[in-house]
Amino acid sequence: NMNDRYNCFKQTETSISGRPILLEGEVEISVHQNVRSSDLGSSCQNWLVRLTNYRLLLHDGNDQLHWYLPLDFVLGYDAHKTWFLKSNKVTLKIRDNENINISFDGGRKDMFIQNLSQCLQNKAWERLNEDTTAVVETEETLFSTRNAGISGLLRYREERNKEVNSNLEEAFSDLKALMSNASEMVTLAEKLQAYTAKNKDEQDEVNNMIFDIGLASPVTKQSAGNLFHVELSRQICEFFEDKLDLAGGIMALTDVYCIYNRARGTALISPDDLYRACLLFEQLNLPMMLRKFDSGLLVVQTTNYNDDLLCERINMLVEQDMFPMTAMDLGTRLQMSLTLAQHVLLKAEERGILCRDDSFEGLVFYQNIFL
Amino acid sequence: KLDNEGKGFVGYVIKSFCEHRFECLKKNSITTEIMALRRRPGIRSNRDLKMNQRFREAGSQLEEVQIQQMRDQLEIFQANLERFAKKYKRNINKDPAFRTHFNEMCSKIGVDPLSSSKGFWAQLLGVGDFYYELGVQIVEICIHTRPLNGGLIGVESVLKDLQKKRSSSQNRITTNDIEKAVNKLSVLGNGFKVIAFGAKRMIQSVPTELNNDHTMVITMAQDAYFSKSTIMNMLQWDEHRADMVIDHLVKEGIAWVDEQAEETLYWFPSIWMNIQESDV
Repeated sequence: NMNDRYNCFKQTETSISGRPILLEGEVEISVHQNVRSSDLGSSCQNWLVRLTNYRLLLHDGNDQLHWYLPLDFVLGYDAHKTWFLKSNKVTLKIRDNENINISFDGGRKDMFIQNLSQCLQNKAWERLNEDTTAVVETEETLFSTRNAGISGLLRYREERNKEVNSNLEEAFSDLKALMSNASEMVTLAEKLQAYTAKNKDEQDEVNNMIFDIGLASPVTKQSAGNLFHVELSRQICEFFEDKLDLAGGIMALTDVYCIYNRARGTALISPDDLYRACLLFEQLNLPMMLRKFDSGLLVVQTTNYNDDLLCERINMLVEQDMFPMTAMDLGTRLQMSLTLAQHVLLKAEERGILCRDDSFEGLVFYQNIFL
Repeated sequence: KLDNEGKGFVGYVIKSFCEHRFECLKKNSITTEIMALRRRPGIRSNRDLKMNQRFREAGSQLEEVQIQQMRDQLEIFQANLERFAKKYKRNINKDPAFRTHFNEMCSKIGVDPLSSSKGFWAQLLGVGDFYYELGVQIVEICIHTRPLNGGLIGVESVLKDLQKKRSSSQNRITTNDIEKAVNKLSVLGNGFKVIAFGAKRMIQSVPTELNNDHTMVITMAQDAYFSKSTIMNMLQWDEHRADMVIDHLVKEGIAWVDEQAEETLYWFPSIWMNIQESDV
């Protein structure tokens, strides 16, 4: 049992989507799956390790528990680097002369080592209350008569032009070299795209490689198993939990994209990433789903969202004061995007709650008193 | 082995005897094979099985080799890309000509550097953030102008609005960049696409159906307006067909009604604003 063996491991709380709740100022740095360790209890062979700037988080896929180890308990590590054999093992040296051996069967051991050493160096947990002031470097410029006067200006401009041109030439030739390297990769990858692996891990690896170079194949349920998208899916679920409720349980995917990227600030996600992540909601048993309307409009809605509830609400609104009802009115009132409001109105009409008035001036809806 | 002994009558006899024996042996060997097959019917299929297995093993070995090759190449490529990024990351973000060139080369070799923010290109070169941020801003502009133009907006108008939104230090952008960002947004299901109406290029941001008739009318409206009689004359349409197109465009908010001229005119705010932008 983890608690007995190493009493430096403590349990951490999880959020609704199954991810650990991070402390204030804690930032996740990297995630590693398929980590094995004989020291951490033999019942689990497949740990998910998350490295943050404060802690090392471990997740046992079987019993849904999260354990963490504060990084200030880690005194050092041994990366087991030998010059002829590649080893997946890392030994962490923690307090009281204990050692923990972990093996990165899923690869990326070097990345872990690099990040870990950086974290241990930075000791971010000590500087929780410190201010960081940016250091501005100032360059000293020497003045000489060569640079003065009109001739100086002309000379400066000439030199700048030459610099820019040679830079541009160099840039284009570098770009060409890079692209020829990339096209070799592409030919290799295309051969591998038809590859069917003996086991899932290799197939995942091949898919990831193809993904990394930007040769992403059209989204299928199989190819959407990338770890990044799984994590992203959970993050999105967490982030939109309360926002969706405020919006009535349903939100257009475009809105999700904008709101989420605005909140992220940097390291934005691509529309494809968002789409793939949302496809995974059902698979991961998260309380959200992606739904497609007839016109092709994609929305994210909570699993307990019901068209009926929304139609009830519309019924109440149109009864009280909002008639004739246009999509614009509904959208403003319910805080949803215009396209979505249009679709919702059509759905309400389908159910017989509203009836339409389709004229040259546009499509408006009234309460259906005929049925 | 009938060279010297092949001369003369004796030679002839020996030769014909040997040939005869040879023929018999040949026939014999075939029959022995057939008899062997008949005696042990599993041999041929067994042999085939073994062959197939060996082929399969060789095949998977080949694939193993290819995968390892791929892994190695990937490492090298990643290192190259890192070096390239160190030198040119700023250029890609600041210089639209370089960026266009980069995009062209990527599409030439069949690579999409924007497909995922976790791919090498986005991570190391930072092309991702540039376009995804642009995407967000374009969506905002489209939502903002929708009451005016019904979800159809000219690319130049978007460019002007974007330049107002973004600070001058923040990258120069071109219509190519805008179109690329819009192409990426199409996966979100809101009907984002770039449509060419003759020489004019517009961005559609609503999932409305614009069929050929609609497209033709919009393309024809060079001066941002049209009337029922002009389209009936120029396109040789009957009144019913013209009515259908006009109705749809007005209902969607793409065309506005102007009853102050001799004949009712229909204006496209999107085209009109585009003309304004390109003149300025």
